[in-house]
Amino acid sequence: MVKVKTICRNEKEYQKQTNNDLLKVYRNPTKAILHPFQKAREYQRAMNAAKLEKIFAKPFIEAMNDHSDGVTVLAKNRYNLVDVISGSADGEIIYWNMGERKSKFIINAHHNFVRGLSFANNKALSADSIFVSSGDDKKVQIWSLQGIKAQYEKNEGLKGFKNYTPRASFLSKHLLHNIDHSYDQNLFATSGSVVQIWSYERSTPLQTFEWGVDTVTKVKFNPSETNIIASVALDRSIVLYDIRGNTALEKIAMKNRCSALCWNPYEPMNFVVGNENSNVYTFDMRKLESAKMIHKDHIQAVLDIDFAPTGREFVTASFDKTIRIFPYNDGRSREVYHTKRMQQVNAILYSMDNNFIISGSEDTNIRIWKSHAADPMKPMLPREKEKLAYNEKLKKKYKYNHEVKRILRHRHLPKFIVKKKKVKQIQKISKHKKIENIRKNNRLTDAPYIPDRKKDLDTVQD
Amino acid sequence: MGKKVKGNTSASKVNQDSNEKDLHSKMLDQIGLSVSDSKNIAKDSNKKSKHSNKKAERQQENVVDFDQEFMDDDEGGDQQLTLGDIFQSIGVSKLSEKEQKSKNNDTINASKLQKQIKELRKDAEKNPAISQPLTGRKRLQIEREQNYKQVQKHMKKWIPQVKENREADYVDFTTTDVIGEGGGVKLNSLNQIASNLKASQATSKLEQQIQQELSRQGLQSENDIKRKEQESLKNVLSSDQLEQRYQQIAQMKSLLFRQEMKNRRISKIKSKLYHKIKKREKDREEKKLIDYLEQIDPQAAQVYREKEEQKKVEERLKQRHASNNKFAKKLKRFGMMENENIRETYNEMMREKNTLKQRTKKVNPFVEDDDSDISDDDSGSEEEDDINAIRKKALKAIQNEIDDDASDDDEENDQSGDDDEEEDESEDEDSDEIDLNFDDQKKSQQKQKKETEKGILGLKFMQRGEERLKEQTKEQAKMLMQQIKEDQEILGLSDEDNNKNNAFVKASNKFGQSKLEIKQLETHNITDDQLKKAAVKLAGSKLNIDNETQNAKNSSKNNDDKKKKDKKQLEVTFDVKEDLKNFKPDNKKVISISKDDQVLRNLFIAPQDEEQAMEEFEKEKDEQIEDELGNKVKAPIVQRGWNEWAGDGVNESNHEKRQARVTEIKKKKIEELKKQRADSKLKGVVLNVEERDKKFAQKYLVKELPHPYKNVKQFEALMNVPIGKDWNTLQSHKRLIQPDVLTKAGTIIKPLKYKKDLPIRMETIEALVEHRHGKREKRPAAKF
Repeated sequence: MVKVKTICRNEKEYQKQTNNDLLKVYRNPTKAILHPFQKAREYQRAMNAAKLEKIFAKPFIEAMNDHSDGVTVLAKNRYNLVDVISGSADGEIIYWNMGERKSKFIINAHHNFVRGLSFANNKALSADSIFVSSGDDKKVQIWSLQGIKAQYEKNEGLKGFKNYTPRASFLSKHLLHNIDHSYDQNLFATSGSVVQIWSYERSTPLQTFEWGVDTVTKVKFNPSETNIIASVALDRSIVLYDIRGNTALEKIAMKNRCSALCWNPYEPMNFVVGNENSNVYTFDMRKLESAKMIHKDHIQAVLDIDFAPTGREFVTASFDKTIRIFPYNDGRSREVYHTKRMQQVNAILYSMDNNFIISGSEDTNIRIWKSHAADPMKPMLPREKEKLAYNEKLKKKYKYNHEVKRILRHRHLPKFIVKKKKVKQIQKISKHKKIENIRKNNRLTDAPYIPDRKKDLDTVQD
Repeated sequence: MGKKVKGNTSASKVNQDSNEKDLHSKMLDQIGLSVSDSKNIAKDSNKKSKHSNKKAERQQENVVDFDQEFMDDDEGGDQQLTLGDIFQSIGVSKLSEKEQKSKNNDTINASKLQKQIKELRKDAEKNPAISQPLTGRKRLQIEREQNYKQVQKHMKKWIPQVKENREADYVDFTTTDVIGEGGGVKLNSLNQIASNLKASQATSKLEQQIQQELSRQGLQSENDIKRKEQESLKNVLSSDQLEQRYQQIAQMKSLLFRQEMKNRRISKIKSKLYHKIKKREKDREEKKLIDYLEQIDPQAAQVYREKEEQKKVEERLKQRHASNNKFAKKLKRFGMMENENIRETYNEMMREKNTLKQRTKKVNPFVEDDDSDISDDDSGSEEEDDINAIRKKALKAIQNEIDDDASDDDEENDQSGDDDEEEDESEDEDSDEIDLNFDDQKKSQQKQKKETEKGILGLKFMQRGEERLKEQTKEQAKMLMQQIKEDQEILGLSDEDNNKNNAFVKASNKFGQSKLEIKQLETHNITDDQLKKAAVKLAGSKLNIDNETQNAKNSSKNNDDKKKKDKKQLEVTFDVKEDLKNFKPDNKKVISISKDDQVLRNLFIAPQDEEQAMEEFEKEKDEQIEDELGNKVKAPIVQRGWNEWAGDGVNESNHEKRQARVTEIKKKKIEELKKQRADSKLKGVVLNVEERDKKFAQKYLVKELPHPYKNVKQFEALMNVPIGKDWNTLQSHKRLIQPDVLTKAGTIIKPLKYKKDLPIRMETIEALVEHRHGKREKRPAAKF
């Protein structure tokens, strides 16, 4: 007969003497051994998660087409999710309601290009939304939403009423580029041939900063350290200003011109600049002698950048008709968006709740995208959320695995981008080869090793 | 210093204007210093100057050759005090006094000079020179530098917060200090505006009218409308009544449904009688048809009937002994096979079924194939004649047997299948087995004939397969026969060669009732090995060979003879057995076709056999592994060195020893590696670890260590931690799947705000410093 081994337990171990007794919890310390298929199963789950991500990746939400010329600039209200304004090349400003995804007011604001738009910091919920605009007609205009609304109501019968009058309009002596509102004061800065600081009450700028002769194209306030301004100029320079002092702070020059700029809202010392050489550079404002990181993936000039409000990601708009999302600490993009009809993307916004991206492009459209292509938009059950979070972690864990990586990284790209990328790769290799050959046959001083982060910087002439 | 002094003397000679030159020489003269004294002075003055600032220091050094920069002191924006100045401004008056003093004293001390210089410095400090204002550009530059430095310092205050954010496992953007009080949901600002718009005016005329109408009826707000609706509903039916009504309807529905289901079931049921009648009808119709067939084609009818009969027999067999009848099914399903008794009965049943099956197969008469390819031709020697005779007889016997009785045949087969027979009988049985091949073939042919008529076996591909098998067996049989023949030829040849010396051995063989004796000639010279070989080759037919030596012939006492014979026979048979195993490939096939029963028996290996097989397997495994590892383990080749090639004093043993040592080391290494193998302790298993690893590597492993990880261990430790629910407690699972960034839909995330209560911790600074120096300790592999 077979000897049967019975499970024998000591009664004391699982019976409570008193109500307050704590039972010993038995846990298996050798998880891996007793679950021999743990790895295989999790791997399979990771694969499935990766594939599901691909299946559900549908980032495009809507295109809004009310502009009659290329969209040049976009601005979001920093304190609510509904207000978005856009300016186009024919001088129109459109106020959009993102809740309804419809244009509410079309404003004939400037005679030429609208160069800059920025919302004021209307922190109180009931307060009037104020925004400022700048254009090629050297005008700085201050608009209030209440005023616009009142005018709209007054001219109800008139179809296509556009000629709203601003709350205030200032004429600048100098050419104007973009405009940016301060985060905690009623001040705003304009770029142009000089950097000017304005207040609502005065028709002349409070301060002007000038360093060098060339035009400053973009100027941005630091969201946390609110007195500091960064700017990029046509002379390939990046300049920092402090509005508390009368002088600029520091200037660096790059080999190519920078055309976009954005501060990291959660790392006040760091900002990114988009360069015409298709790269994006992260800088630490305290150590400007070299870039902190180069973010490469675009193939043509980067035209606009906006940071996610979390500071974990930023989104770039490029001349190559794509939008890319980069992690703040990664050299390669996480995601690329493009559509057939989208032309060069001039302006980009990351919504303040971290969920949406709004792009304005040369084809007169404003498009709304999801920031995470595969995330569902519906409200989810806790179990659903848990599952998604689990999938996310699995993908993260197995992202180095060949097969998972392949699935996760694959993106369909327009043909011309694929081709250009290949060409770029070839160029890179041949350059590398050339310099290696130089190194082999010369002294090291002839071709010293310089990291790219420094190589792309130029010496400042001053 | 010496150089400088030299420099100053030379400089003074060459390039200075006469004024200075004069002054210098005059002064020296006046002081009455030699060159060496002037050195001392210079030294002292230098020592003093260390206290003043840098620029001054630089100037001070220049002072040594003061003849050059004596006058032009206003270089640089801010004027610093130089010794030159001192000499120039004060020196004239004071020095002149001192000069006079020194004139009086005639000699001068270094200490005195020191004192003088001190005094001079004090004076200078009292009334410093005023610096010129900077130009605008320069000033701006300095201002910028200063401002930037300040800002740089100021920005440091953010470091702890940033660092904390970066190092956190996850960042929560749903806390109140990020999104502000009130949840930060700021979706409604425009909605408010929109509602204001709506409230103020309805846009179109129609809307206005509607609004007017509504207001007249007292339905201005949404709530009013709702209330009105509810009231109107209340008037029609009370809630209780409604509920009753619903219940009634549900009851009716369920009743109807049940009735329907019942009807459906009833319509399906048929009585036994019904089935009986149906069957009878069917039979009747069939009979009619057969009768009709008889009239037209009696042969076909016969065939049909036989077929039917066979079917019936089969059916009967199936019913009683099928492995898929109800009883058997239950056994399998409910695990009753584990009971020994029940299993025994089941096995008994199956055995019975098999025998019955065979019997039914043999019932049919068979026609012998004339063109069996096993026909053999050449027969030179007597032995071969004998064999042919045996063959022929065997064929006949088989025919007879088959004709005679099936059951007899069975018995015989059983007997012949047995290897472990008594010696006396073995002769009969073994001789029988010579021709087992033929026997089998014929049987298989019979079977085929029968089977072609049956269902599955009637299919074409099955037939083809059967044919192939037949051919194979034929060929094997041929080969075997050839071998036997050849062996006998060899034997014959050897016989001829050693005709005189050789003794003839009689080997007697029996077959069935008719015994046959084979006289086998065996030479005296044939060694045991040769004998074995021959025996092995003959082993297929399991011939018993009786050996008798020549000597035995001469001195043959019956008893002794018998004993010897027995012994030899034992030995030979043993050998044959042994060699049989080595001779597997051929033999196995032969056996496999031999008979069903034998096959069955072979399937159940006796415990001794199993042990043997195990040993063999282990041996094989060892060899295989050693082979594999031998290729891997590299042992140095032992080469002959000095005094090992040739000549006196060559020590061969030395070389051998070394070689032995090397091989021993290699063996040890192999042994070690063997122990490391996963299958080292598993008996009867060879794990092909490498192959498995290869497969595994492609799927689960990463080619290169990913960037943030410093070593493989670290990475693996992280990869080994399961995240899933199945391997973690709920709590830890939830912690593990925590998203890196927590956000809430529809809430504003405000930019970072400065927190005062987060001081820069010393440890973080230290860590930063260490990090910069690259001394940072390795992070623990995993966090738990």
